[in-house]
Amino acid sequence: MEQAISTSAVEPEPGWFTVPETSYKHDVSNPESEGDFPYVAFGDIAYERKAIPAIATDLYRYKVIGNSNAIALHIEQLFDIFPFNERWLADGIKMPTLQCKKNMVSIATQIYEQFGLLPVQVAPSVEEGVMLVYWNKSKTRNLKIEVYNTLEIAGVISANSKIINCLDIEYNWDLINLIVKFVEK
Amino acid sequence: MPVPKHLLINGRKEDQSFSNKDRLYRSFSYDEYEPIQNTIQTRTIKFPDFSCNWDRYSFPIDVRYRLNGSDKDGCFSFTVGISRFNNCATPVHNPIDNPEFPNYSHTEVRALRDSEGTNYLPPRKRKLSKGKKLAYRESIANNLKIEIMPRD
Repeated sequence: MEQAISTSAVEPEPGWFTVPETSYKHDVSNPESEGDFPYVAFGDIAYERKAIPAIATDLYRYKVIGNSNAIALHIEQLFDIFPFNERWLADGIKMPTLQCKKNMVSIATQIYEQFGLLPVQVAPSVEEGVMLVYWNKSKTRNLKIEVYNTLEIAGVISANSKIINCLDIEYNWDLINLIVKFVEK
Repeated sequence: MPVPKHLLINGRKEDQSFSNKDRLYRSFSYDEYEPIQNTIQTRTIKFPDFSCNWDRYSFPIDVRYRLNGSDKDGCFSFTVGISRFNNCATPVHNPIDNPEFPNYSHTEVRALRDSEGTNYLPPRKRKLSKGKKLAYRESIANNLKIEIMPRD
């Protein structure tokens, strides 16, 4: 019997994130994606999963194993590839602030740790902030996340040059949903 | 660089009779180019209140005749219809009567409110949510045409 349970009722566990199973599309033709099999694939990303003990629902925990320090260093190095445009300075556009860059690194690290995705570009934005760009393997779909000096965040997904989804990211849940939409087939 | 004669004001008045098929020209530099999709990087597109030249009164190369313009500048274009994406913006013909760089074709793309039609002439400096602005900028990047490639 299915029971509706809020994820906020579940104790958090470091390194793992919890999402109701129905939020993801399963490969139902693959019997390994059901039951208690410990590994599942969403798009191109593999996850270890485990059922939450003592809860007879369809809630699971997932994690991707990664090295967050190396990721933060990699992202900062990508950012250094693109110097701030001198014409923007002349037009009065402000460079990304230190807090904006810190938030950007934190978001990119979280995306790697939860989804195994690395950006292909990290660069200043003319809207006074930083943009992270992700591509899928076939380069038909891309995700852009922009972190502003105001510390607001927005994200957009395009596939074959058409916008699939765009939103203001106000809560962590918005970010997770956006990434799920980006990785799902 | 002397400005071409067709950009001079010559007593002409504003013209707001945009057609959705008309094109708007804008300059870009080589570091703004996005080679994977042969377009402009979304992070380099500002919105709203960005300047363009109207193709009814100019040619792509004319984007170089402006303050801080360069003979290395490239040019991209998009239709007026694209500039009205989701009815959240519209072009406003705004000729510049500058002694050094007059430009009769100068046009600004400005933000509209939900209740305003695309024939309304909105003011500058309107605020929009970051998400709406990002969607608009991505739409420009997804639907533009490169007219002249910039020189490195």
